[in-house]
Amino acid sequence: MADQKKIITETPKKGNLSKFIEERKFPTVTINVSMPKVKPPKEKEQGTEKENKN
Amino acid sequence: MNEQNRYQERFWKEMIQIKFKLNYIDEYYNESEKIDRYMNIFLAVTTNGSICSWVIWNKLQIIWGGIIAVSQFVNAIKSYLPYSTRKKYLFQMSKDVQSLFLLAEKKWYDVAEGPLTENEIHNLTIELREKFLALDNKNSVEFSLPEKQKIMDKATKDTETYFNNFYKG
Repeated sequence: MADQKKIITETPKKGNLSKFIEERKFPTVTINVSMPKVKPPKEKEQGTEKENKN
Repeated sequence: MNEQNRYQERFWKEMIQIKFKLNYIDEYYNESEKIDRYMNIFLAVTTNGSICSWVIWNKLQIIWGGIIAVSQFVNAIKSYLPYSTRKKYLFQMSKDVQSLFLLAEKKWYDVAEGPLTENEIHNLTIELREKFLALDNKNSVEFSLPEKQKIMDKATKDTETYFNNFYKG
């Protein structure tokens, strides 16, 4: 187990590559789709801020 | 990342990742299904065709003997190959992640139109991640999905197409 964790956190070397790949299920990829225009989020309510200070 | 919209941007990216994973799962399922089908066809041909073609192959006994040996070997190890386990997992995950993505799209309206605070948007993003993790844990058995570049490329392209079609202003 300890060896396996070590492999995941390190950059895979040639011999470790297949083991490294097998540990993961879903790859993370960069997809270039820009976010459409959005309205700014609602401001935090005044009452909540006062409650937080208290 | 725009400082003002950073939480909305994070939700947006999370939504894209979920759609990508859904496409990846579907592509992976299709490929596993294809391999499984080819294997079954091969086994069906070698077992059922053996008697009919015996006369034809009689002169090439070594080749036919080899094919039969391979087919028996494949038949013996078939249940230990990862495709059927993968198929079950991917089939269930596809249905579950489809529902999760629909939920994310439903929430996107609230995220984009401004009725939610930054804190609420952040909580929604984390909720999506947790739900995905829960689905994976629910459906998962101990096995892996080795990364396949071809499937990744196709899933990436499909995801881009989807968001460009439905969200590009």
